[in-house]
Amino acid sequence: MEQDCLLELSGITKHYPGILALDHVDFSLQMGEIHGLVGENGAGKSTLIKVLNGIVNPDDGVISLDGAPRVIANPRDSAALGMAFIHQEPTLFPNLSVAENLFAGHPRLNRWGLVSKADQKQAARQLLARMSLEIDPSALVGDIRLAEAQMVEILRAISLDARILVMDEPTSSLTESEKHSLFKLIESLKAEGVSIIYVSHFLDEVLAICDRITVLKDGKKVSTHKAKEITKSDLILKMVGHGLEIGEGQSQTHAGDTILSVRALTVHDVLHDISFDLRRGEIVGICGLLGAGKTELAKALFGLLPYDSGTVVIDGEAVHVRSPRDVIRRGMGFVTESRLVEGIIGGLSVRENATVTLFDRLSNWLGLLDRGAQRQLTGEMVADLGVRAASQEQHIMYLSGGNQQKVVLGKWLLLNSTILILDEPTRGIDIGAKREIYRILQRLAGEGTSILLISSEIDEVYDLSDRIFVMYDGRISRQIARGEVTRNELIALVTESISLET
Amino acid sequence: MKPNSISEPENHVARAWNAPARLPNLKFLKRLPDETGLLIILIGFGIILSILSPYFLTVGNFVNVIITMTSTGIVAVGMTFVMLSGGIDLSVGSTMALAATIAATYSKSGSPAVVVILIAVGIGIIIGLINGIAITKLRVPPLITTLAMLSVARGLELIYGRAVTVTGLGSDINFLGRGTIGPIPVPIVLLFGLYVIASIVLSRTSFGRKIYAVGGNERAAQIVGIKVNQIKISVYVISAVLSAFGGLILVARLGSAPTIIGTGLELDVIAAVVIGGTSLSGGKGGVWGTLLGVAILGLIQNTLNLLNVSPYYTQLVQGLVIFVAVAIDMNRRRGT
Ligand SMILES: Nc1ncnc2c1ncn2[C@@H]1O[C@H](COP(=O)(O)OP(=O)(O)OP(=O)(O)O)[C@@H](O)[C@H]1O
Ligand SMILES: [Mg+2]
Repeated sequence: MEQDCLLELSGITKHYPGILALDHVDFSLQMGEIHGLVGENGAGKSTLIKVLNGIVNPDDGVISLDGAPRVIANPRDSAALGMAFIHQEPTLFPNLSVAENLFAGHPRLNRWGLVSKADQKQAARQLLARMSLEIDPSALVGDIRLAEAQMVEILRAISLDARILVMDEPTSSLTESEKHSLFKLIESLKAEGVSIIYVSHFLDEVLAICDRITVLKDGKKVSTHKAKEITKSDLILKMVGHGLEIGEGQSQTHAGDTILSVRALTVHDVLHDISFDLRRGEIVGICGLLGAGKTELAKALFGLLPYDSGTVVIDGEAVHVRSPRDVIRRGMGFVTESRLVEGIIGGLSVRENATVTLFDRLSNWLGLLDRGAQRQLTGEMVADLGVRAASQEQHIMYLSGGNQQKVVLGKWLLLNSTILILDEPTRGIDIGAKREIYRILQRLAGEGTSILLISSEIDEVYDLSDRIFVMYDGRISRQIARGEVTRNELIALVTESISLET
Repeated sequence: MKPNSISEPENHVARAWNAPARLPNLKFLKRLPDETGLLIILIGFGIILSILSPYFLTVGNFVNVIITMTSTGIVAVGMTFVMLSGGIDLSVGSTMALAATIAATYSKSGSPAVVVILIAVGIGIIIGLINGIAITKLRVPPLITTLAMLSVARGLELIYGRAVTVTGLGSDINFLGRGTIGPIPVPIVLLFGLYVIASIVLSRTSFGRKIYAVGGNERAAQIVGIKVNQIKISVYVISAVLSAFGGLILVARLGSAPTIIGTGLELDVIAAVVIGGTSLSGGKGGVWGTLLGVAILGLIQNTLNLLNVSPYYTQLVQGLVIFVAVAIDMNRRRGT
């Protein structure tokens, strides 16, 4: 096992106020290996990776590469050692183009020493083609979709020709087809001798592509296994500490009368003639490829994307949706896809982020907020969703990615909305908490809440939805009732739309 | 999935770190530093001064420093609101001048104090609304909008007052600047009253927390249904009204309204807010830090006065202190 040990971490420890994020963690990476890193939200995966990258300096521990101890004090050090990183949240420059982002650290120069835009565009096009992506290299990163940004982030790391590639949840917002091209890419990198550290909450993925898997729990290493020698349920046991009943019974539909009715909704070039009804207590799943218009549909319904024509009727009342307030007032809630840009409010605590939707309701005639009520509601939400934070007063920025996501979802659950639009609600959330969220969504539906569930995770959509809409090219191309197709047929239906076209 | 339902013997160390018993002292440590850096600078000043000048440690001098800084302190409250929301207001000095000149003219011609105050406040509301609406509805960036207003309001003041100092104000208005309530001078009562109210508004009310939310992540705030434009307009109105009010107090203390009143005030006020730890990008900070920032600026001026240093040096020293204070602050934050 030790023969080709490329990278070795031993005794890595990192304290944060109130939390021991890493507790004497040992980890080793062999030459040409794909090593999975799994654990619950807040287990310390991203912190370990930031230590490797030199973004976080550990309190204790030794990192050695090729058998020699190394100091990694900043990202330049790790780059010099031949490591490249894909972080959990895109670290791109939103105000620069895709091409400029791809070559930000090592711009292509012309003979005058100036950045050669043409060269970069050409090189960017080649990189994008490698993943069969149709992104315009001169588009601003701030304008492209989250999944596309994630792909650009991946490509940027790959273009560095590193010998160690570290990926923190690279597939969290990708749909089936991008996942597929990513896995193919990983395979070819492995064949070229690149070693990979792969962090993910999708255990099936991890089991399929990794050679070995290390489990972290509460900042400590639990164990390392050969992927071939461990099953998914054993892995869960190691991660969570107890088993989880997998595949619970699907809830029965109690769909009542129509609460939301959309007719011929059209946004120029983006959405075409969308019509559907959503009934009380119904969960409707929406799936489709990247660029199918799922997020755009959610945004149009929530007043964040102006629509050109069509009608929206909520609870029998025609509403011209121009801003989120128009629909929030009528009981709609929206969990956005990008937690960093549209979800969390930096600078505010967990308590305030959780109750920000309730500020008006929780204040008295003088405008004074009832902190006791805030604390109590937050406490319930934190317990329900299993949010790991040092305290309710902790700044939300310091929570792990999955825990931030739980708070973003929790704030809408606290509002008791009657219609919930969820855009990738479980992005980056660990397997145990996911089950808990599914249970909560089913309970809410049972109580009469209607849910539009947009997700790139087919399993999630398949298990929870009473009806499923497949979107393609800005249209609802197919409506499927529960049980009408099998899981694999659904996957085929979603991905097939490509083969239909090209 | 409650955290405690997954406890296992092997993670007792992590448990210990989460144990409530350790939290209070950590919290205390985390709480302590925020304004301590500034307090240390302040105390350092105090020690140097009391060695250099026997007059420094007298009640008279302290009262004097505070009164001198009252107007700046009041305007700085409004600036804190604006900067917390992620904006900036460069027009505070000119707003002060315009309101002070017009109000002083009315006072001179015999209007009672109430009317004079209402006029000043009214001018503040109008200017604040114009700033706020230009920024939210016309989407002109705050820096440009208020830079334009800086010029426009100053111009209006010079046109209205014909560039002549207004003197001979009504005695009732002078009470605001020179009167006392019991033994305490009125400006001091107003100043501290304002800070207490502002701090409650910012930290405890729904309006105050929405300001932080807008400054922290405007898009997220909009999505949860906060009326972002309304919040932004409000902070510019608050800033302009407090500028006008600060001007009134200054005029009342001086007994006249010189035309150059409030020139360059925006820089002092922004400096005080930034020294006080409010982030230029919004969402972080508060008024107590601002008050310390104002106090530091006041002490610099007082020091140089007491030591008979040429006023030419004031700007130099002030610039250096601002830089050092913010540099210390930034590095301390990064350390955590
Ligand atoms: N800058 C910080 N300040 C304080 N605490 C932090 C900071 N960064 C991380 N933590 C804490 O350290 C712990 C580990 O966080 P980390 O981001 O490594 O988790 P993770 O395993 O990547 O989780 P996830 O699956 O949710 O991404 C968490 O409890 C988190 O709250
Ligand atoms: Mg993470």
